[in-house]
Amino acid sequence: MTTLQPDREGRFRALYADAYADVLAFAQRRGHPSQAEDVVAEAFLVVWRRFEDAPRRRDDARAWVFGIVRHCLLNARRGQGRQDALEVRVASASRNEPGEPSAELIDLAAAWRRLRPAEQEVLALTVFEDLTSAQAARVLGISAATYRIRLMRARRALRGHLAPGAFLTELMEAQS
Amino acid sequence: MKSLRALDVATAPTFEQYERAATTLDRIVATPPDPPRRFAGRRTWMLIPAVAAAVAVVLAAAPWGGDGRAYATWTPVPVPLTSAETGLVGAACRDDMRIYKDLDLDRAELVLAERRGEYVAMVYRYDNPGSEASCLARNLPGTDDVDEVKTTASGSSGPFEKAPAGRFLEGALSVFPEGVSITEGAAGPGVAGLTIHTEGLSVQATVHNGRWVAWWPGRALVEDGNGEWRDVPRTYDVLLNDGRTIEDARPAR
Repeated sequence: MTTLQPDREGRFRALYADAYADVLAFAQRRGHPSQAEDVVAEAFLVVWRRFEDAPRRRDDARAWVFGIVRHCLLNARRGQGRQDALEVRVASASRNEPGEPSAELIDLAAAWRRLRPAEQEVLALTVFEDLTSAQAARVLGISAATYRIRLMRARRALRGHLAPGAFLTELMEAQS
Repeated sequence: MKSLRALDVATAPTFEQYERAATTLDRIVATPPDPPRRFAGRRTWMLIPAVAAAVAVVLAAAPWGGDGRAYATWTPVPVPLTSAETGLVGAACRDDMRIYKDLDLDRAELVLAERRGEYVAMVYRYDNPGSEASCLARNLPGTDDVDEVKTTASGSSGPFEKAPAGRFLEGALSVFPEGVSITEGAAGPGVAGLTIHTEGLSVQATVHNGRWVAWWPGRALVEDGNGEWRDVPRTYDVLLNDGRTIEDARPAR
């Protein structure tokens, strides 16, 4: 029988409170919105049971939880055939800017959807989850060096799907 | 990249979601941890399972990856790795092992490595105190892609025991959520091979320098419904250097 450390529950509750919104967002981007809360609950149950393994640093712990959510999502989709990567959804237009979406954003959304799920995942961890290479690599179960290579390729793929313009310039600047 | 952020579909939790999250949190902390891990040795620090291991309990993922294909390339007889494969997969394994705060990766040496189809198994260890970490990762031969990295680690209070001549010892045993088991141990002088029979499989272990490792797509431990874990029956055949085979051999301890 495992003996729980006295502060274990307190530390877990702190991580839960700190990471819940980000973890829910992670699940919303990669799964059906109606199932996001269930997946997050499932993942945090895993986190609770394996809390001794949680990194102490806040951002590392958050990335660690993302990896567990990803694993839960992939496992849940096994019935649909083998999947090694999760598709990451984006909106067709900005939620923050009222009115007609700009042509550039429409093009960007279209280019994103032409990426392979593995490319979307790699980019999303940097763009949406704001993770470092080491943290993103942990989420995907690969080395940081491999992640950086895949990130470079994914950026190149997105660039290839975009017509020349301001967004292309932005992507090139982000890569440099 | 900020343009991409404008297309984010995620939304901040609503008040109702936060309420449900609070209820979920209370339900979660009321459940006990119950890792399906075991180490046949003197324990001083808790067995540290991989992140993925817990999913086995939570999701009850089916053996053979649920759709029956994930480990379809598994072979009962292992093949050794090239040095390039060892470097590639080893880096990913060691990276994943950073989560184990009691494992000193600077001291951990690769002692066993093998491939069965698309999956590679590696074992790292060091003595005083005896510590070992195992890794299972997917790597298509000939590619530099490594994913599905799963690791586990355990330790004991002193140095690892050595197996007597012609005998073997069981070491760590781990069950991953996909229904995959990996186990390792010590092989005494004169032991050339070890074969594990379980659930209709005959798994030939990799034996090298007094250690052995084997893994297979099946559960070595199953829950009995009362929160206890029991062994799925398995037997061992030991092949000696002189060509003799000891069938249904028992561990030396």
